[in-house]
Amino acid sequence: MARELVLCYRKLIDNSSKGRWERLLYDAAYEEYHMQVQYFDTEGKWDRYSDLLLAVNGAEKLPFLVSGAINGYLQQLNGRVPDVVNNVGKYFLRFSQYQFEIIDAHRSKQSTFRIAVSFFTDPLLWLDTISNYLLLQPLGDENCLTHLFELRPYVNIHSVKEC
Amino acid sequence: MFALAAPLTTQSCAKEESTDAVDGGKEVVADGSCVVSPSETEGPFPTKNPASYVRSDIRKGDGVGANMNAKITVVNANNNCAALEGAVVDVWHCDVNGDYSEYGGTQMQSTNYQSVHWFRGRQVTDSNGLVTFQTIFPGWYQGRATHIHVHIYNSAGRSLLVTQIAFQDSLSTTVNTTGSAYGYTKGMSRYTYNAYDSVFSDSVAKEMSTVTGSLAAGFEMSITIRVSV
Repeated sequence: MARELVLCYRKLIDNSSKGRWERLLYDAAYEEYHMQVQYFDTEGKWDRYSDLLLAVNGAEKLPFLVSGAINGYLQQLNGRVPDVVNNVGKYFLRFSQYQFEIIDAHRSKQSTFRIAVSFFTDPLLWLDTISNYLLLQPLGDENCLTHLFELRPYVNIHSVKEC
Repeated sequence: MFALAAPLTTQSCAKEESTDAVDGGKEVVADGSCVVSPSETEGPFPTKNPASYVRSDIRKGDGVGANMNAKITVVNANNNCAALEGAVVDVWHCDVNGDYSEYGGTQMQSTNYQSVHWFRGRQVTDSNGLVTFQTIFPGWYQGRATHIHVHIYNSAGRSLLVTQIAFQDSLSTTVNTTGSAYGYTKGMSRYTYNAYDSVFSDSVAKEMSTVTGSLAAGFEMSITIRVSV
């Protein structure tokens, strides 16, 4: 029986990230964090994001507020999930939903800033499993084209629906 | 796993092939845990992109609410209240229902990458210290009088002032009791008037806006905010 899957690719970005897109997004996110955090910590009491979260009511909104600085970079992807390819090396996953996380941040140390963008794929049909590969078909593909895909670190099957 | 960089051969030839130097005789060890690498033309090349807040029209785009031009002038109290150029002004306020653009405020929810953070904007003051936002007259929510949040930074992003803009009670009453055609359907039951508002009660004169216009014609709001630089 075919199942409908949503995959989630959680892309970690930190100070060691080298790609141009990643660096632009990373720097924009940090700059925005630096601005927005001052609303929740007007006196500069908490250097670490983790401490701020525990101490200040409302600070959990920071990922949402900082995400306003990275929207444009997500739009530059044109709905294509980065990094994850099928077994012939081609990008094949589409997304429209994402989630932005601040993993770690410090008021004055950009080097400790770590973030993640989770890409939730458009629905895929899971037709079969062949060796280590999932045989997937984008939902609604009129040509019945499929992709062989091997699960990799930071890719999760986010949800399953029997169909 | 995969045969790496070796020509297709029959099984009987496999031994000879494997000892025949292909690349200086170096063996290539296949890593079973690896997955296929991307092999597509790169692009489009990423470009620097300002925060989505940087725009003057911060409306939702659904046509709900009475239009309002919000004109905010920033002056420097340490310089005889001269206009402050180059200050970064963030504003945010709720929609006609009293909701902010947040997806729940938890970290568990996803959002569409094309969605904008409506009723949140950022502009940089001009030589007159002025920024203008096209928005709507804000709605209200329980516990607070009608207000717009403002956060002013210097050009380097250092916080100078966090404040709020207040509106006359009479104007809020007019909008919320006669503006149902524009989406203001909550009325004024359980509204918090400025005198009872936890933020405005002791300082409302300093945060009060000047507003002209009407629901039908749209409003013009202006206020001067003093910062110390």
